[in-house]
Amino acid sequence: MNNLEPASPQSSAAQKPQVALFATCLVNTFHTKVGFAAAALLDAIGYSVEVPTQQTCCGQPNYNNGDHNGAITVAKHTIETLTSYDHVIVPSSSCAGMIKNHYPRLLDAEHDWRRKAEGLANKTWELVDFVYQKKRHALPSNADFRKTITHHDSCSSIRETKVTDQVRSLIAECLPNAHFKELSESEACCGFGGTFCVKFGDIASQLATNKITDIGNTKADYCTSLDSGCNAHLNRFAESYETVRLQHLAVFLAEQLNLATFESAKD
Amino acid sequence: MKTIDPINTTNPNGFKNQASAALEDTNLQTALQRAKSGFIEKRKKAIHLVDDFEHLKTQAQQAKQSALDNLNHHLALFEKNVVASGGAVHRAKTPAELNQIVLKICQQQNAKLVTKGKSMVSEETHLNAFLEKHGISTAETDLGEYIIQLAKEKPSHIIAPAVHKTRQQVAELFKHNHELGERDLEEIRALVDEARAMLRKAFLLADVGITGANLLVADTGSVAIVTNEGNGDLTATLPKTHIVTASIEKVVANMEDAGKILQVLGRSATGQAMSTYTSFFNGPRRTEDLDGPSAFHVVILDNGRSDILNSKYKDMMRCIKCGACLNHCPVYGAVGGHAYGDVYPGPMGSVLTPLMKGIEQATPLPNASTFCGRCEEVCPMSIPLPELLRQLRNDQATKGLAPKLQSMALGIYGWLARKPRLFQLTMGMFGRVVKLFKVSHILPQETPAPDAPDTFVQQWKKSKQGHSENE
Ligand code: SF4
Repeated sequence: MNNLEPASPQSSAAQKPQVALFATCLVNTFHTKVGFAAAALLDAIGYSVEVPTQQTCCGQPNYNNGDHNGAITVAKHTIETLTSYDHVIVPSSSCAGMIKNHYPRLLDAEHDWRRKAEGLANKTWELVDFVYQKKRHALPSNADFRKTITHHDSCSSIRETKVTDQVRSLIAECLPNAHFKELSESEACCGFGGTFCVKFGDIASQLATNKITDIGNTKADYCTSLDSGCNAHLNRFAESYETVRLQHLAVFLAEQLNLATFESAKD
Repeated sequence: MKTIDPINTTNPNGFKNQASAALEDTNLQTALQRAKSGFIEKRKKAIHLVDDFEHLKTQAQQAKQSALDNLNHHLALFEKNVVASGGAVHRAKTPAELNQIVLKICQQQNAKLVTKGKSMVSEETHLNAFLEKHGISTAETDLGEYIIQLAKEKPSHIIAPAVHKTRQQVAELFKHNHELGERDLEEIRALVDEARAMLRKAFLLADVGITGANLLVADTGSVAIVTNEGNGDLTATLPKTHIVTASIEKVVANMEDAGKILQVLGRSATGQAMSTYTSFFNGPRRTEDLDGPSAFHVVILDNGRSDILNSKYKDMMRCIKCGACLNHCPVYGAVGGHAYGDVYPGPMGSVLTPLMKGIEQATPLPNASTFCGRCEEVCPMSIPLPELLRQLRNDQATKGLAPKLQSMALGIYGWLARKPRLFQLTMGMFGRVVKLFKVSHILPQETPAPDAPDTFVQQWKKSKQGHSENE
């Protein structure tokens, strides 16, 4: 069982436990690389990755903008799409939090649906949390990596999924010679907030600028995060900091640990 | 020369423009930046010093909740005990009623000058302006309130009313208003001393003293106020008449419960285990007392609170006005309190203002949150602020107050999200357009090559097919 070798995509999927990858709409549409990197991490720790084709969105755009009924129908669709899997892995704290914490509440009035929502909530994981808790020792390490990293804790990774210490430990284990530097205000919001950054552009940009300054001050080579939403938002302002690369932690790890990704298969 | 301060003409529906103006205001930005880190650090330290802050929170919440669950009983008991100690209790349904009651008491005393301790309720009712209109002068005695009274502004924070001003601005204000000639006001100490000297006269001359209340204790009929300057005590005890302006949700059952709330109030607000002055007032001066007012009135305001208590927003009534949610809010931290356009700013204000003024009177406020959740995390009363804001957004949409375009877009998106094939096609197309026009802010640094514009799900399917063909 405890396969310490990183599994290759071609190895027989039949004996491996299966997980469903729920990509989230942002990764699905724009940050597709995060999806492939997530799959590579899961594959590397010995899981067979399934990407259910019926998946769409977790429903947060509707839920957070006053359309609870719309959110309920999207939630039901997602529950039906994912309910048959043993584990559902989400490469976003925000969307994982939506499924884990908010679906049951949203469907509170409908007994059967609430039960199903709770069932799904219990087996849904934020990607890095899953990798860390389940099989972090199965990941390879790269002792040659000696650069400086900082990490942006998204608000949802602090409060919805509580994946903060896991990130530090995972980086320390996989990249033992990396230099990790904390941000000075690691709990400050970057200003993304879904549609918030559209509705209140100038406040959002001020908050992003604060965050980027904080990141820049660490003089890190890489800044990782668990949420593509924050990354997309921060990237608008990151151009002035040519030296730092903002990456989803999954992409960063897949690159630095040289994991085989399925993406290359299309070439 | 007088300038019209735009701050006084703000309103909640103007939030967006007011926020933009605030972001451009360099003095404000300097003041906010300094205040924010101070509040956050102090609270963190104070909480670190107690063994189990979560336990203190739970205790305080239970004390508050049990009082609210039986509110009428506790208010009646409070009234009975105030009367027993020789004071009077008045109930006001609306701000106008409160103002009338206070005016009548002042007129009976032939009052010319009123000193005031900090009271958010009197801000709610615009009491100062009302009294001034009827020929009664008011002198704010809390340093922050004094500053903004001089500046003819409104508080921008519920516990630090002048937090939006820099020290240099306050020095300017004092030089402009106090005719004391050339002097050095570089140090904070000098500012405080000057304010104290100016206020001393008011304390001695005032006919009536008006304070707020942090707690009303039902079984003793006591009113508790906490301050750091002692100005509340002088306001309450020096004039012949003491009027307390409070709101209904301030009542607690007994001293023990009051203590439970005080344990979390100071720590959450200013990072103090206990404020410098915590005073309990019980009725007027008794014959054996050495000082104190000869008349003691408590005016208790409702102003929509009973309705809130009977609604899905009832959790909001646990609020003890500690200000922690303001201090930790990224939006408040960026734009300050005046942008919110009403008495209560920040997360708690974004819930309270629409509920008290009407949801259509404050539509931007519930939307002015990133839902980062830090407010709920630091709230000593565990009020689910983001959830309440989300409910308000839902109420806006239900009432047709959300922007039409937004509702339409959400309708289409929600429908698409149940049609997986169409969803992939549409999102793929959308992605293509964004990449084509290089709407760069949506794109990651690791932008996919433009010749691979499919969605992840589409790409994954293809790569899987590629695999099985290769095998
Ligand atoms: S909502 Fe909570 S944190 Fe904000 S002022 Fe009220 S009690 Fe304090």
